[in-house]
Amino acid sequence: MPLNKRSKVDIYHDVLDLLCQEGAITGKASSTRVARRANLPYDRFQKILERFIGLDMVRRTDEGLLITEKGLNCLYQIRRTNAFLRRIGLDT
Amino acid sequence: MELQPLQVLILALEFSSVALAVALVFLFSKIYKTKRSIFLLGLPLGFFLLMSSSFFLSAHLVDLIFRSVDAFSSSLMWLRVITQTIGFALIVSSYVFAGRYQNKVKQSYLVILAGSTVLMLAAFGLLFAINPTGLSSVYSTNKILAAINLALLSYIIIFLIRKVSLKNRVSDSISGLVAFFSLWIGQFSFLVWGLANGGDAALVGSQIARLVGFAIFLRIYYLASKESSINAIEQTKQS
Repeated sequence: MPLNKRSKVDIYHDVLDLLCQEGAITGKASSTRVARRANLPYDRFQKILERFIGLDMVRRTDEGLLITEKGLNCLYQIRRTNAFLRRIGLDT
Repeated sequence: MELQPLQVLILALEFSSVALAVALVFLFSKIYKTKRSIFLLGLPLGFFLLMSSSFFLSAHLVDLIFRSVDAFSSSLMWLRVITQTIGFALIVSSYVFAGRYQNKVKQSYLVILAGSTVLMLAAFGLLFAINPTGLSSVYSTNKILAAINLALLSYIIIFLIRKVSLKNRVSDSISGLVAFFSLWIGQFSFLVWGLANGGDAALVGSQIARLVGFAIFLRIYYLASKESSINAIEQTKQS
């Protein structure tokens, strides 16, 4: 059976979630580790990261990457949507 | 003109139904905006039509009680039954396409568009075929459309029962199942009222069941928000 392709929103969710897990809340996330754990080619991850930086969802710091409040709100909104869709049986 | 207690109750229930439906339209629009999956478009559109349907019924009742202009009332009721059935059909379309066309954006959009158009034409055709002389035929066709609504809601209920039985976490989809079952009970109760002369209790029951269904959807969203905020707090603590 073929695996379901991740949608763009699923990929954004995974990246934001992994940024948090890798310490982006304190500004210490490593982009290489996040890209590897998100199962994304590094160039594609960079494009997503630049987009997040452009939207002020993520910032670069001396120690790594920092997720901003806007980024956390976005992650929270995607999580809430996924939880809602799961509860009404529309998760895929 | 003095209002009967039953009329007041029915009007209050229908206005509450409009208010809850407005909240659901905003909620499902937000869901669609976040996910950007075209198959979810049926939900905000469907609930928008259900909201319109409740609004038209309220207007119909107000007109019947205060003015009683037959042609205008019939037109409102005609709009009410059509929007309701198409609304349910659009919600069902989201469930039909959920697993099948998830990543085929253009195709699913066309399928939803074509499906809605066909349903709309079929509903119009049905009304005119049964009684082409006037819009008053809506009172007899209303029961047929209620039966169609029951069939549409049954599809979602069967879909959710299958999903619940396949999952280990039964509690996850059960609330969605209860919400749609409430809407089903609402339609069934209306059918009982129409066909078997079930009395005022059946009519009021149908409105209450619909209201409960809408309220459960809002409760599900509240629970989902709570769940995701708990996760967020735990993640912050870990960091």
